[in-house]
Amino acid sequence: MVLSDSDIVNLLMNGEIIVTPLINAEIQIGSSSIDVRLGTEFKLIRRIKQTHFNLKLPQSEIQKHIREYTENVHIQPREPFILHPGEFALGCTLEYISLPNNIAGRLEGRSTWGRAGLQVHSTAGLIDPGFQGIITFELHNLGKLPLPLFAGVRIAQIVFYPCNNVMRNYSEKTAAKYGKSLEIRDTMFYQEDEYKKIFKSDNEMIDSQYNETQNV
Amino acid sequence: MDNLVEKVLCLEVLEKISRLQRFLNLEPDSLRQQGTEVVDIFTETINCVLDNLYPLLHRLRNDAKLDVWEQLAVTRRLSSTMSSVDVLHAQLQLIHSSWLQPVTHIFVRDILDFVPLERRHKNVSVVLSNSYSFEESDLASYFEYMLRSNIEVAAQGETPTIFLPKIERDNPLNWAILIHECGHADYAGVAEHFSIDTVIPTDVDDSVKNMLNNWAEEIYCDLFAIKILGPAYLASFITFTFALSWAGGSEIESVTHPADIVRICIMLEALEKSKLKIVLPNSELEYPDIASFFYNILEERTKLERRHTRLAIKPLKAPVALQDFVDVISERIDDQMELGKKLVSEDLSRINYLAERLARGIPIGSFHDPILVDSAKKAFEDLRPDEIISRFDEFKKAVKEPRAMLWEILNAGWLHKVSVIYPKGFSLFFGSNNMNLHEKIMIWNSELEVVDKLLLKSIESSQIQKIME
Repeated sequence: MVLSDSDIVNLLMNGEIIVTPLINAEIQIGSSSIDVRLGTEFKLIRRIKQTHFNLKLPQSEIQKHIREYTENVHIQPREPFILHPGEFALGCTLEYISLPNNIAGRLEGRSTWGRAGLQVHSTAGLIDPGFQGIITFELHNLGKLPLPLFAGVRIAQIVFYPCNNVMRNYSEKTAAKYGKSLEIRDTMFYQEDEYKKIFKSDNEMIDSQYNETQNV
Repeated sequence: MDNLVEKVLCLEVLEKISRLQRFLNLEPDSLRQQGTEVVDIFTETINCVLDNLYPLLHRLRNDAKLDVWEQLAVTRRLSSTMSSVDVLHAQLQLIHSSWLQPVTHIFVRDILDFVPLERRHKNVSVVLSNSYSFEESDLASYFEYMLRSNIEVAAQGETPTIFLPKIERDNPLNWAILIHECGHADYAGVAEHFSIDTVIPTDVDDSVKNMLNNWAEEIYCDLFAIKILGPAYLASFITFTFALSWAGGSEIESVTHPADIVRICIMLEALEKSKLKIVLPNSELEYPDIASFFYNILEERTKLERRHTRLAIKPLKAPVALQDFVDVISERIDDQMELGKKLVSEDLSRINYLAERLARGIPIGSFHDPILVDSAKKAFEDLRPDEIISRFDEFKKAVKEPRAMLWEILNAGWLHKVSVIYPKGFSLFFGSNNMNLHEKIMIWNSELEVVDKLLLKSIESSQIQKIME
């Protein structure tokens, strides 16, 4: 079941859902969603010399490679961020979002921008109950013309779902990596438990070798 | 070849200049996007340096061999040009503006809106400085001054530029002092409206007159900042003074500034008159509000230093009561600023609400009216579904969040710092726990970083909301 506008307004009034700044509630609250706006930060993918993410390296080195792989862009108000055709970039909401333990959210595009070829998330649209922070967009221009994107423009919407009997919310999840953030974070896939298991013996060996070389 | 030495020397100087220009062109777009005019003034000053070389190049193009005196004159001229390049090179530190928080430009633009349009600078640049002091300078004149001993340079236009200490890059609470510096950028245009001369005695010599004019400017800038920010500016100013003042330093005036303690008293009086007080919640902090808290800790520190150093505090030399300046400026300052709405004590009720939000880790660039929301909530619970439908737009309006003003954000930030962050620090560093100092510093730093990020985000989203409303 999707929450309706009256459910959303009621939850906002009670402070159970927080969407701030809610600049123009009359326009932003639709019959079953809230429009969210584009923030000022972006991460673009750079061309780098690395042939692949070498997960056998120590985590600090992987982090360094990922930092090299992305370029941070911060736009000023009234200044456009140009997303070129075929280009992928991470962006973020202007709004800080906080969900209670019994409501999940889903990020969706807006048809106005969809028609221009803008995709706001490629794969990760789910917002877990208990999430707090800004939402990251996975922006992709599927059209053939560059898209000028300005901070404050409504490019996406969040739909809410009731979600009862949640035992561990997002912030209590041990594997949660991106919550309570006010900025876009780089991917941390290498911190996933599976990778730790896959490379367990290798990593132990490599970490000790790496530490030895550092000590030398 | 005639004049070989001079020609080679000249080429070397020109190469240095062209390399300087190339460096400036490395990242001009990203620097300009940040609204700084610093690159422009660098470029103009380099052009002046080049202009100085024209007569010399002309002379060298003429194949006539230079006599020994001419050779000396040419090489000296080239050397002084090279010294100018060195001086400018040392100042390249100023264009590391890409390290500046992008929100700093938003902050300064917001402040400039308080200056009437006819007097407003299109832009005031901010650069990070190696020295720990907040200063305002016209960069064009500053460059002219530095190069004057080497070559003739005429300052091109005005480029007000504020120097922000590097370590304050992420700390909006101390950017409050930037507002005082913006006041300096504005003062030349506003000074005549205050008729400061009328309160300066005619029988004093020019050096005293200059000093008093300097003091008047400082008082204007303090009151300018107090009008815009209220207690947050005083808190910023006192913490700056508190950390820097050596034994009793806050009680000593200079040719450029009245004693800090005198300035603080003037600001306290202005806050008192407007009844602008940010009340501290019941705590162990002993003082009832932000201004008295900071004033008293500074006073205690000064007293302590005085007792131990037996420093003789010189009495103020001013032949006029500074109160005359304060009266003249206070009387007319409101007419000289685009205040829109004056800060009044009633506005402060929202500060507590914003500080509570900050404590919960929520940005405070906007907030809904709690009273409006409460009454809407009550109506929502009491009404029948058909009544809710007819009044639904009212409920939507109630959850709308008007933007928080810059002064609200910074005052809430200071309230949060004093009532939440300080106590956390007291307990972390002076309470009983098993952490070593290194661990404690790490925790302290992350606490401060969270507040910085929340405030930066709040200032930025408030400005975007201003455009969208």
